[in-house]
Amino acid sequence: MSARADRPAARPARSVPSCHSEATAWVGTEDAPVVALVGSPNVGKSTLYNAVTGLRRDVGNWPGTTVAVGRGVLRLPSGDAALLDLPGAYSLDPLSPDEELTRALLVDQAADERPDVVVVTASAANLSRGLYLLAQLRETDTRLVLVVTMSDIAARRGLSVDVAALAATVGVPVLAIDPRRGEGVQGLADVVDRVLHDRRPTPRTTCGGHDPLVVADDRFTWISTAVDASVRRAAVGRTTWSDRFDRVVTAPFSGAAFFLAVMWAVFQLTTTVAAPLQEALDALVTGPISAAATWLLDAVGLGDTWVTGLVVDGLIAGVGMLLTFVPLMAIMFALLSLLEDSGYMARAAVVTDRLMRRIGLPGRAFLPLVVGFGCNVPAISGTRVLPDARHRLLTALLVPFTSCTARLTVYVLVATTFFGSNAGTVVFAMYVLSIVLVVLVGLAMRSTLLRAMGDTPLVLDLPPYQLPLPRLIWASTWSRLQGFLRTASGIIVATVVVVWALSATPAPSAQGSFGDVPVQDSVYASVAQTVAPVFDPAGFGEWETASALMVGFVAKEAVISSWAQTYAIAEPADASEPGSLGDALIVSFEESSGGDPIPAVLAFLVFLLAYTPCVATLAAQKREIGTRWTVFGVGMQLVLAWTLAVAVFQVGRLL
Amino acid sequence: MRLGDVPPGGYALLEAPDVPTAMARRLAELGLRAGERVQVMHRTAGGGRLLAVGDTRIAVDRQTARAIPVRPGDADAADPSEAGPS
Repeated sequence: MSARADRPAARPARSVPSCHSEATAWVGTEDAPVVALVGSPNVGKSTLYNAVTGLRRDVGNWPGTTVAVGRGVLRLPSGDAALLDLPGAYSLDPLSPDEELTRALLVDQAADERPDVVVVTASAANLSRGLYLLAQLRETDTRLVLVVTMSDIAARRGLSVDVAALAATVGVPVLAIDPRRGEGVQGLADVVDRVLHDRRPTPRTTCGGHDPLVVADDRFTWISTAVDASVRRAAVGRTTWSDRFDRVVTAPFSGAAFFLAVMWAVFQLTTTVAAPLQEALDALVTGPISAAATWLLDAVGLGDTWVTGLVVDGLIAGVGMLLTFVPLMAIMFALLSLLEDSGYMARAAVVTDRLMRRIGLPGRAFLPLVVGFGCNVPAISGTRVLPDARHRLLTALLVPFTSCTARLTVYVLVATTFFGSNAGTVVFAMYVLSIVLVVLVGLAMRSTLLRAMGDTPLVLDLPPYQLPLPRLIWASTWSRLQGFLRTASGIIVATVVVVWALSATPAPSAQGSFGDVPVQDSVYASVAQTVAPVFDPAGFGEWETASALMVGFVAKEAVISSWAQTYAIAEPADASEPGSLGDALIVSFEESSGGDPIPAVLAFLVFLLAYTPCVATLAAQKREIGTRWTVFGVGMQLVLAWTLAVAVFQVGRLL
Repeated sequence: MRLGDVPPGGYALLEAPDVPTAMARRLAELGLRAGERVQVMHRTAGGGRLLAVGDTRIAVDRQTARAIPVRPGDADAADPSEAGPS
């Protein structure tokens, strides 16, 4: 950010570590002016940001925090400016880490590090709400622009805002923009450019001195004056259709029923509808694409070499795995966007608030946790519905304990093999245990690591209902999908390649050459043999099982194929008909448990449920909560899974 | 009398809430401040209330509804959207 001499003395940063160089690097422009977009939640701030920046944007965590900030380029007549999309905030008096960051960047940090222009967004349908933040910023020498959005919704309520009168009262330029339809967006750059080259405004003085309540009253009076001068209202009916709809979707019984129906639809779309698309992509990659690559390598004389293995079983398999997540993630992101844009998400939060509060999470956390039972990867991304970064962190750490459908295949195979007609009960018990783990781990983390997380009561401004615009949903889905692919591609492809390389390398004592060695003679098998004794106290210390669990770290879908490979048995086409793989497993668990296979199998299932779901989940976690918390999560899952498995086996064999 | 005691459809005049200062400030920012007239629209799932404050609708949970003392509001005082700018 550019340094200026005409700024007041620097105040020390309070809530956010001063990380000028890091933050400057993140903003990405050393000399360009910085424009920040602020506003209360649900006023179309991010839609405005998307409309202004197009696809030239990026969303990431502000350095040193888990708070997501968008950054992009605002093209001004005098050159490019960096545009920051700060988290939603009602005021500069923070109640959440997101609001703390907004305050820190706008007010607390050194004057020459603050944004050069701040664009405040306010809804025409509820002007006074948005003006509080403006009132506070007017008490500083910040260069300001006020953008009034949602004029269409205001018009439906019989309200209109006189922009010129408003500008005259509040003393800053005001623009009416409809970012959803792109109307008036062009004018923003011109106004920001003009303000950028103006003198800094003289701060408004308030009466009340140091008494915060008197100062707040002074601001409310100032806001009332501005609203009286600019808002025209026609007579409107008392109860709108929106009120009638709210009565259904937030009321005790009908609200819960409507919510469950919506969750059912979300779950169906992220599982049943996504599955054939995923299978088709998988078939394309493992079929024609792999065949074409093999043919091409044959043609250049690399046919039977390790290069084919690296390309087909490493790189293409890795990219294929990444691609199978694309339809799933696209559906998830589109649904998130639809639920948020329509205004329903806030109603859902009201309905589930009391239930979720019991495990210290707000109502909105219900959505990612439900989706987690389909697939953990989109569920982790779904934590974005939570406005508070601490809630996002806790939910993202809990999602891996929701039992995804990939784990279900393994449950079915193992339960059918060992429990016959009682298999259904065992699988059901795994789902119950999954819910119990989410609740208990949530409570444990609330009372230890995240103890400082406040228990803010639910006071929620319900945004007006809006008809979702397909163009906006597409833009948001595409942008989030790109972000996911950027973060996940490296991790997923690298992991698949490493597993391939380990299983292609012969162990020091074994025969064979690189790329031409049976899996049981590979370095991968040696590693599994080294790891296996760790599972002895849990009753499943055979290297074949350890090997399957290691592959399961990459993807749970691979557990069964790994077993089949190591026992040199064809993989069963249907998990409920385990065939000779089932026989091999019975012998294996019989041996490893010292004659108590049932407790050992239950211990194995518990371990499978509780340990790291897959590398794609880790990639999604890294994107949402950062590397440090992701590593912490892996450690926590492994320790918990092992402890529970040992407890199940040791107690089970005594019974 | 507390906000939670107001029957659905009823009006109330808010008094200073019994909540920590930061929360009181947030309630005020959302339009729930002493002297403001609100209509209780209905009871929400979980025992909270949906309130009409001016032109906006605000959901509060049961605890918050219990923490805000009120005086009975006048149903004839006009529509909440005309009770003042909000």
